[in-house]
Amino acid sequence: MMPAYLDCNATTPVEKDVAREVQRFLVEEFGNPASPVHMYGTIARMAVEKARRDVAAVVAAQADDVIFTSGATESNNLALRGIAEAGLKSGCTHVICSAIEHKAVLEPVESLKKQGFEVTILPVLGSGIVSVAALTEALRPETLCVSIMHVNNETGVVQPLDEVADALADHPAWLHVDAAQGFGKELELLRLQRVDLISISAHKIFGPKGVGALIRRRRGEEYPPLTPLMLGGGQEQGLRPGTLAAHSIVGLGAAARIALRDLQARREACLAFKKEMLAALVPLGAVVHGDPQRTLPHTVNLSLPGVEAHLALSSLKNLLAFSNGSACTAHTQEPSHVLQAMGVQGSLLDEAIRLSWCHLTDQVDWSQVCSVIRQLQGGSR
Amino acid sequence: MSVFDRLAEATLRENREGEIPDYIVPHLMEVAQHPERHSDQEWAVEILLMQVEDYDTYAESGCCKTAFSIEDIYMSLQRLGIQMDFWT
Repeated sequence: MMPAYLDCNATTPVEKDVAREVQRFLVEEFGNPASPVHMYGTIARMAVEKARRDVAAVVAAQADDVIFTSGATESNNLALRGIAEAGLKSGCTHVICSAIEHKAVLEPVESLKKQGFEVTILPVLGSGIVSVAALTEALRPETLCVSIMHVNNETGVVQPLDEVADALADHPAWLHVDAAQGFGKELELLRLQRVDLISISAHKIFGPKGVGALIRRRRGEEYPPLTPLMLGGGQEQGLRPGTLAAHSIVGLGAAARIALRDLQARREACLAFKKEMLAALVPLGAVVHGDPQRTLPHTVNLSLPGVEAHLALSSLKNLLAFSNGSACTAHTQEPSHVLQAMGVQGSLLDEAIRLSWCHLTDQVDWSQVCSVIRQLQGGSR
Repeated sequence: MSVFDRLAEATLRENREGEIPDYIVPHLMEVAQHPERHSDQEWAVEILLMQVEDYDTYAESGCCKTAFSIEDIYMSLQRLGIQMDFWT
């Protein structure tokens, strides 16, 4: 029997309806959307345009604002490295991001230093929330871009994008949001018109891996001035050349459409699961990281006193599939840069695990889980 | 409201207030009023609905295609198996 899957922040299972659509456009409707001179191409093209509208609807954007990519990592790169040329031309060579961004933001930002950019990394509070006061202090006339994530992948804490938008109200800097973890799960903040660029991935919302989008919003008549990272075709308004993966894009569109339709039901299922889980783990002394009032209902990051994360992972592997942090760094022994930025120290850092679930997660026998944890704690609780 | 109901509503509205031409309405309604014939083609009906809602007589005339033309609608109807004598 497979363990219960509690690593939905790494990737989610694919919804059956989404898989059916992907299969249809992989096998039956296999035309190239760039060849709309016959029925095969036209159907594929129309399906891609439908997906574009479905993705845009989640964040109250226009269909034309959506550029399909291979996922949020590529979208982050296109946003942050793609805007650099405009910054160099205009003399705006200062970029700001937070200390708890995913590596897919931190590394592109780091690479900008080689082009002469200055970078400010914002601190976060103990609650896991980015310091907006620090952002206000960090802004300079030459600040080109601010990149703040929507929802942290390790803690599930929703970042105060409304306050960030207010802080930027009188500043021309472009605001980029890595929304890989929050797109389709929290709606209001991504609908703020001050958010100029949004990176998303399908596989975090029950869609296929390898597809995502960068959503650009016009400010007045002007789109953020991006330069493509690849050349070789005019697809996606010249920003992302290459044959569109129609089947994957259709899957992303279907996943976005279902996310809007089932938002409330999914949220309630996740809350019920969370309640049951915390009722089991808190009596064992679990220390939760991140402000619970600002955490999405499908994620908890916690430390179990006396149980190092690697021990919890190996001892519970037949019952639960979870991780000790970001999927992109889970294979390393490095302590979480997110928790460190929040001021988590000592044994709590080594004991931190991330549990993330969804509406499709199987029931968990928490008494069995607690029994294993108690043994690891030496029966002290 | 099913996708077929939405198609019927959009067809009549866009014909009355928008630019959907009279001659295509019966063919669109043939889909909308027969969900049993297209129950395994809802994905294609969703596409047709999008095209009706964003139909523009001059969709092909600009440098960017942000709307759908009558030819797009013909193609979707054909994919749904609707016979149109004038479209061969």
